[in-house]
Amino acid sequence: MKKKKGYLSATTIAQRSFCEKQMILDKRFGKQETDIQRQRKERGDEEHLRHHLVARKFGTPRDSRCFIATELYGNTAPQTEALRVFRDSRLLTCLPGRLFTKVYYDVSPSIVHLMKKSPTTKKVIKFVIDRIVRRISH
Amino acid sequence: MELVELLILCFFLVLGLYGLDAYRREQRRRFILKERMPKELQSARLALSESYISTDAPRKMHGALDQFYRLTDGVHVLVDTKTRDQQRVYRKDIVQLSVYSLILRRNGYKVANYGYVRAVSPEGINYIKTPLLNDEETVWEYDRTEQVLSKKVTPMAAEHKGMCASCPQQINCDQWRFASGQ
Repeated sequence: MKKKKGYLSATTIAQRSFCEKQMILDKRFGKQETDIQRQRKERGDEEHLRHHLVARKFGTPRDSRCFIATELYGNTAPQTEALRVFRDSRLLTCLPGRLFTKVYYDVSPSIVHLMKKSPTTKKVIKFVIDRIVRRISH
Repeated sequence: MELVELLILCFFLVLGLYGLDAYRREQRRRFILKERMPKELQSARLALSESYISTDAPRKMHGALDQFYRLTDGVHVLVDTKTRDQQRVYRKDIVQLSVYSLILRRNGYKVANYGYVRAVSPEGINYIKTPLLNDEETVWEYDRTEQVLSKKVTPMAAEHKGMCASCPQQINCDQWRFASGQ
């Protein structure tokens, strides 16, 4: 992890709750490690990397962006969140829904591009999406 | 005839997409089975993995989280991997997860008031559900750390003798609990 000046890391704060004395001694004499601890650390780093790669592949790593909604309402807007929840709880639980999501991710960047070029198109799409959001929010 | 060809093409296209989808689901099922994930994480989506996070308020803190999942109801849950001989959670694990939780809340995420320690031991993998500290307690942990590092307070030794047993700073420590038969 990169060091940021003036910031305390979560690991340092956590270590204090284990032993304050050790934290001070680490600062004064440098971090010490026994052979067993070094081996454990290596094992831990390996496990972290392995799990990171596997989780990214199979821990539902699909793109979570709602392109059109983000363009219309913003990334953290409640409407965008409502559409995300609908996608996760309804669409991604059945095959037609998953297929629709796949197609949506393919075509939506082009629609967003069109929306940026033509305010009329944006108004029409917003009218439709507003109705969908209202319906799924109830 | 053209229509028949088109229908056959569509059939194979859908079949191919279904095959791909089935393969992916099978791989994911195996992953979940091996991981022995809690039910709520099985349906969750991975939002962040091995990511650097930071905040300036209420205090300047940063860290690199392991995994961060978004549940179907929109709430996020933290997972932190610990490779140990025994599958147990220490206070330092709770503090670490609580700091991540505070940073992420400050970054606009809706975070659950609990997290999971993914304990990896020779016995296998186990997700241990752990309640987290609230913001006030987390800020107290930060302030205390800062005071100890800036020598404003006297550092305390480990609470239990067991913590000193494998300490690599034994030789430099005047409060090492085995030194005077404490």
